[in-house]
Formats: sequence, structure tokens, C-alpha cells
Amino acid sequence: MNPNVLVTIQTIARIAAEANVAVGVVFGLIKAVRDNWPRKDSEPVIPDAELIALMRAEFAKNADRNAQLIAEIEAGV
Amino acid sequence: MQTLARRTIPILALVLLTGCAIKGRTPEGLAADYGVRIAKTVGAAQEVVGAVGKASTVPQVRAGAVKALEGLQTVNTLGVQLADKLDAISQARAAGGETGTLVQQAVSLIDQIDAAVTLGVLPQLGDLPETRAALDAARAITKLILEIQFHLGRTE
Repeated sequence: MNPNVLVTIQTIARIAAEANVAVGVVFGLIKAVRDNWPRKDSEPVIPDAELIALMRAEFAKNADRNAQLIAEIEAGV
Repeated sequence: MQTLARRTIPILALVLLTGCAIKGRTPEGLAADYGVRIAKTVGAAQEVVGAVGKASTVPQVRAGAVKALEGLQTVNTLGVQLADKLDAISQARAAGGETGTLVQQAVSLIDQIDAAVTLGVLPQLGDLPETRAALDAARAITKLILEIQFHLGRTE
């Protein structure tokens, strides 16, 4: 094969590979920014203390409901 | 290509770190976020188990449902204790105090929740079609437990 053709093919392949990496990096960067940008106004950040209180309340509510369900099954309701 | 990587990787790392910092959630806050999700998943799971138990006429299925509910009740009790522990971690951090021991205690509680689901709930549900939904719900809890462990582990 003509050496010039071989060099041309190698050059095109190298440029294509680098362009592929560059596109990947750009898309990765865009995704990283989108995933980590501050929440929108429609998604207010709940303070930690409120979240912890909510967690406690949810488990306590579950406990009451759980006891009720066990009683219903045992009573054959 | 090396030059390209040398320039872009630090920028990428900086963007990620800045993004996490801007979100402003402490590890125990993130853990509580997952704690709420676990509580909701437990609530949904026990409704499914309760429905299966009430609908079945097979004594073994009803007994299994009650045992699974008892396992989930253990999760509820431990969940309240975990919320208290996260509260203590949050207060200790705000006061500039040491949180290591509290975090270890919280991780221990999460391990107990994990064990309660794995040993006390999943074996009771079996793999019958009527309990499959309950099994899926219980498995979702274990996935959330893994995530909460990951986030709480970041306090160390």
C-alpha cells in the first residue's frame, strides 16, 4: 500500500479517536453539572433537623399501623 | 490526548466537588433522607404483608405474615432509635464535638435493621406469587439500607 495513504488513514483514525474522547468529556462535564447543580426553587432543601424529625414520625406511625395489622390478622378480620 | 485529559479531569473533579458542597447536606442529613425513604418503604411493605395475611385462608401464610410484620416492627423500633442517634450526631457536629462514637452506634443500629430485614422478614415471605410483592418491598428496604450506610460512612 502507498505509504502516503497509510499515513492519511492513521491520521484520520487518530483525529477520530481524539474527537471521540473530547465529545465524551464534554458530555460527562454537562452531566456532572446537571446532576450536582443546586436544587431548583421547586425543590426546597429541608433542614436536617426536620428530616430527622420526619424520619422519627414516619417510623412511629408505621409502628402503630403494624400493631393494628397484626391484630387484624390474628382476629381474622 | 494526554494534554486534553490533564486539562479536563481536574475541571471535572472540581465541578463534582463544588456541586456536592453547594447542595449543603451533612452526612447525617443524607442518612435521614434515606431514613425517611426506608420508613416509607417499611410502611408500604407492611401494608402488602398485612393484605396478604388478611386475604389468605392458609394458616401458615397468615402465621408467616404475622412473623414478617413482627420483623418489620423491629425495623420500626430500630428506626426511631436511629433517628434519635442521627439527631445526637447532628447536635454534636453543630457544637463542634466528637461524632465518631455516635456514628459507630448509628452504623450498629443500621446493621441491626439490616439483620431484622434479612433474618426476620425475608425468610417469612418465601417466594410464593402472593408474597412476591411483599418480598420486592422488603428487598427495596435492604437496598436503601446499603445507601444509608454509604452516606453515614462519609462522616468518618
